[in-house]
Amino acid sequence: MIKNIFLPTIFLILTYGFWISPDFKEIAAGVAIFLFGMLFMEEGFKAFTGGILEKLLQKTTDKLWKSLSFGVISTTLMQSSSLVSVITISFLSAGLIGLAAGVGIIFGANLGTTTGAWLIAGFGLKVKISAYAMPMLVFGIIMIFQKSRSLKGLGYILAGLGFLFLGIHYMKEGFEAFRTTIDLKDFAVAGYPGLFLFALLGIAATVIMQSSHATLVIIITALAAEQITYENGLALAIGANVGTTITAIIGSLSANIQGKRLAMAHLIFNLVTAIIAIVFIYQIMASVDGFALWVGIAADDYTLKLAVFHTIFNSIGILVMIPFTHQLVNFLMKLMPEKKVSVATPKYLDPAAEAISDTAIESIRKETLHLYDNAFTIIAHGLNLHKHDILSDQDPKSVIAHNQKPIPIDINDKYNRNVKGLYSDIVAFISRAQAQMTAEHGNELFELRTVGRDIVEAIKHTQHLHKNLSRYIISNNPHIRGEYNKIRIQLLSVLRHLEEAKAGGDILELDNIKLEIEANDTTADGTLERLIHEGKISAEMATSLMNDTSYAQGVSKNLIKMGEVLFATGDIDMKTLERSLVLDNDEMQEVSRQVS
Amino acid sequence: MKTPKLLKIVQRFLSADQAEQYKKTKCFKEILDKLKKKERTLKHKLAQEQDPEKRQQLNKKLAIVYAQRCKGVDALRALKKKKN
Repeated sequence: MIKNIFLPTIFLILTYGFWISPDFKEIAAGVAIFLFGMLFMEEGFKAFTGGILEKLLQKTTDKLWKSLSFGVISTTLMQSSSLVSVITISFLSAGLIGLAAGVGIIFGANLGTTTGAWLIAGFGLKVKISAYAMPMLVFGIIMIFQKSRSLKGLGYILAGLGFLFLGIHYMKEGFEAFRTTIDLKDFAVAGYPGLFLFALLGIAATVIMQSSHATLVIIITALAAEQITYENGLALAIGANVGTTITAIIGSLSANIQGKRLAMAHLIFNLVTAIIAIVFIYQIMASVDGFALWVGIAADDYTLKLAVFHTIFNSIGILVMIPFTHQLVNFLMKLMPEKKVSVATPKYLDPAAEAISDTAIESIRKETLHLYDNAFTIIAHGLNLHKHDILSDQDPKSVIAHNQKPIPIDINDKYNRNVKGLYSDIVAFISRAQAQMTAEHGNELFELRTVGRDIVEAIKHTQHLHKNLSRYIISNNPHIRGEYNKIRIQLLSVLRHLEEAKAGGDILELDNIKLEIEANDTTADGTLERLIHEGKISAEMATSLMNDTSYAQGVSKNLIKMGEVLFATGDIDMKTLERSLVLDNDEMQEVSRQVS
Repeated sequence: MKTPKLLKIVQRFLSADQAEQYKKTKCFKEILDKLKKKERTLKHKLAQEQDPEKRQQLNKKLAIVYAQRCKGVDALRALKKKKN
C-alpha cells in the first residue's frame, strides 16, 4: 500500500515545490542532473572493468597507504573531496575496487581537501571545476557516439563528470537565495555551546553551497571583518568538513549498497573527526599556535592559521580512524547488509547423502528436476507463454492465439537467480559424491551433470530466441508472425511431451517429438524460400527466422536430451537399458521414411 | 534357508557377471513387455480412429514403438547369445 502511494506522493510534493519556488526547481533539477552524471560515470567505469583501469586501481589501492595516497593526490588535483568521494562511489558500484580501498581513498580525500585551505589562504585562488562542465559534456557525448568500447566508456565518464559539475552548479545557483540570509554576527555565542552552534552552521552552509571551500572563503572573510571570533571560525571549518559529505550522500542515492556503505563511511569519518576536533579544540588551537610560531606565521594571520588547523584536525582524524578501518568496514557491512534477492537454493542436496551412491544419485536427480522446473518457467516466459497454459490440455494453436502479449522477462537475471547457483551447487555435490562411487554410478553422475548443462544451454538458446520472438509475434506482417507462432507451437509441444514423459517416467515417449520436429522444419521444407521468393517477408526477417529456428531446435534438442536422462526411473540397470532403446538419428530417419 | 535358495545365492556370488546378465535380461523383458502393451493400445486406438490427421499421428507413434521394440529384441537376442 505504502509502496503504491510513495511515488505519486513524491511527484505531488515535487510538483507543489516547483510551483511555489523557482529556486527549489533549480535545486531539484541540479540533484537530478547530478544523479544522471553518477549513472553515466558508473556506465563509463563499467566499460573498463576487467581491463586496464581495474588493474591500475587494484594496484594503486591494494594497501591502505596506497589508497590513502590515492585519495590525497586525486583530491589535491581535483580540489574537491566531494567529487573524489562520488567518483570513488561509482568505482565501488562498478565493482572496480573494494570497500576497504574505498574507505582508504575517502580518508585520503579528507587530507587532500586541506590543500584547498592552503591554496585559498596562500594564493587566494581556487580551481573552478564547474567551468569545465560544458566542454566535458560536449567532448563526452561525441566520444559516446564512437564505436570503440574504450572511447565510449571514456565518453560516459567525461559526460558524467560534466553532468556532475552542472548538477552542482545548479544546486549552488538554487541555494544562492539562502546564502545571503546567513549573517554570522547573529549567532555569536561564547564557549562550547558556541562551538557546537557554529559547527552546525558550518554544516548548513556547506550543504547549501555544496562546497566546503566556499564555506572556508566565507569564514576567512568573516574573520577578516571580525564578524566572528577565531574560535567560532574554527568551529565553522569543522562543520564544513561534515557538511561536505552531503554530496557523497546524494551521489550514493543512485549507487548500489557498496556505494551507500562508502557514503556512510565518509559521514562517520567526518563526524568522528568533528567530535574529536570540537572536544579537543583548545589543545588543537595550542598546537596550531605552536606550529605557527615555529614556521613564522603571524599570530593574527587567521587565514593561514585556519589552513594549519584544517590540516591538523583532519590528520588527527586519519590517525585515529586508520587502526579501526577493518572494524569500520565490518560495521558497515553489518549495518547495511546486502539486500538478499530471492535465489533458488537446493532442496535435496543433503551432505549426509554424499557417501551413499544410490541416495546421492537420487538426490542429484531430484535436485536437477528442481533445476528443470525453474528452467521450465524461464523458457515458457521466454516464449511468451504461461506455465499453466503449457500444462493445460488446451489446443496448442488456441493457447498461442490467446498469448500474443509479450511477457516482460529478463532471462539473464532469472537465470542468475533461479538456475546458475543451483546448477553450481549440483556440480559441486556431484564432484564430492563422485569420489566414493563405482564406475557404473560414476557414469550415471556424469550423465546427470550433462543434463544440467543441457538445461543451461536450452535457457541460453531461449534467451537468443526471445529477442526476435517478442518483436515478431506482434508484427503487422502476418507471415512472419505466423512463422514465429509455429516455433512457439513446436516448443510448446516439446514442453508438453516432456511433462508427459516426466509424469509417466517413460523416456521412450520422447522419440515421438523428435519425429515431429523433423517434420516441421520450416527452413528445410521450402517454406522459408517460398516466403522470401513471394516477397512476403524481408531478407532481414528471413535471416532472423533462420537463426531463431536454429535456436528453437537447440532448445528442443537440449531438452529432449535432458529428458532422456532425467526422466528415466528405476534402478541404474533399468535406466541404462531404457536409454539404450532410444532411437538414434539414422533409426529415426528410417522410421520417418516408413511413415511418409 | 532352503538349500536350493542358498545355492542360488552362492552361485550368484561366484559368477557375478552371469548375475549381471540375468538381471539385464530381466530388465529387457520388462521393458519389452511395456512396449508390447503400448503397441497393442496404439493399434486399438488406430482401429477406432476416423480422423486422417490423428490416424497419421498414431501411425507415427506405432512405427516408433515398433522400432524401439525391434531394437530391444535384437539387444536381448545378443545378450542371450553371449550367455550361451
